[in-house]
Amino acid sequence: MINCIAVDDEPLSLQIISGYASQIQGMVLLKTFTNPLKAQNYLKKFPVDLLLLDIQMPDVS
Amino acid sequence: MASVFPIGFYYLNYYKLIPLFYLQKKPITYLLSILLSLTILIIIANIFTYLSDNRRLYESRPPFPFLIHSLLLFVVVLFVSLGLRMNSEWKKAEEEIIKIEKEKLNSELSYLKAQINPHFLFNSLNSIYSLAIIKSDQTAEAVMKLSNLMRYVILDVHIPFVPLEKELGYIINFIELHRLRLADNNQINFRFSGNPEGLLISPFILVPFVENAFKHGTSAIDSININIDISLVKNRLDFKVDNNKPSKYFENQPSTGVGIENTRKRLEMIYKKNYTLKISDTDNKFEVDLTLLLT
Repeated sequence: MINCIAVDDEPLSLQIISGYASQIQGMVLLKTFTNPLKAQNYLKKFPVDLLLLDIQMPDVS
Repeated sequence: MASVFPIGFYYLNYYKLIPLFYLQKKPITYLLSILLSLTILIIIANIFTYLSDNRRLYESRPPFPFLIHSLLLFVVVLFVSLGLRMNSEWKKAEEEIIKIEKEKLNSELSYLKAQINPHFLFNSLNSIYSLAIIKSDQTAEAVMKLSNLMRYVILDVHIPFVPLEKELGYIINFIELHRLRLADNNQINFRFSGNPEGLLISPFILVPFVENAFKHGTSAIDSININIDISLVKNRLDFKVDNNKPSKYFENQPSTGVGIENTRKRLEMIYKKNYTLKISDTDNKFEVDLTLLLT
């Protein structure tokens, strides 16, 4: 089982990513974030195996 | 020695009389000043001759030859100075026209460049792609909005004045397309009041301020409010845009201010005295207040 989260400032993209992730067997998309700081906090509590990240985001890239 | 006076008249005419009267479109004053100069010159020339060694010569002849001589010299000096001055005036005017033409071209080019923002186009296409994948009902509408936007950018940007509805339509479509992709922490409030019918506006005079708010006022983290307020009272348009600025979590690229500066130049060129623009840029807020008298 691969646990992963996705971070993107556009909710629409996260929706697409969720759709793709659900089609891949053995991959669990635990949560999606538009706010990278919240994603960071989440990671501190629950380390994951895979991060799906936007390459350019406001504020943080 | 007597030639000093015509030379003096040459410079007087070149530097004072022509710019003061002739170029200010006061031909009668100019003519009178010329006649006055002529009279003074003839008197001086005659006195001069009278006092000089040619006194005997002067007495022996009628004053006619001196008069004709002075008059001839005067006319030559008059036309030479007038000709030279007008020549330099024409050259100056021509240079001015070329300069204005160049400036116009430059500003036009740079605002065109600023308009077709490839980032925005790709973002919108990306949103539409996502909408299509999830088979959203909004897909068709979003394509239509983008198409209307592009039509305005490509076709109407060359027209000096367009109906106000077109500019407003662009802003509304622009906001809608941004709403598609932005997360809930970015709140966009658009208000409009008044009747835009029959009013004209220079295209893309309001849009840059809206674009600017979205460019610098969106965040993935902070709560953002973008307020766009447009109200019309008869032909007076009040346009207010403000956004709070996201905190700087990392070094952002600094804003160049080119877009706003260009628009200010265009306002100055097109609306001259019929506009006021106030921009306040503080640490956490950016505010634009523009008033335009439309035609």
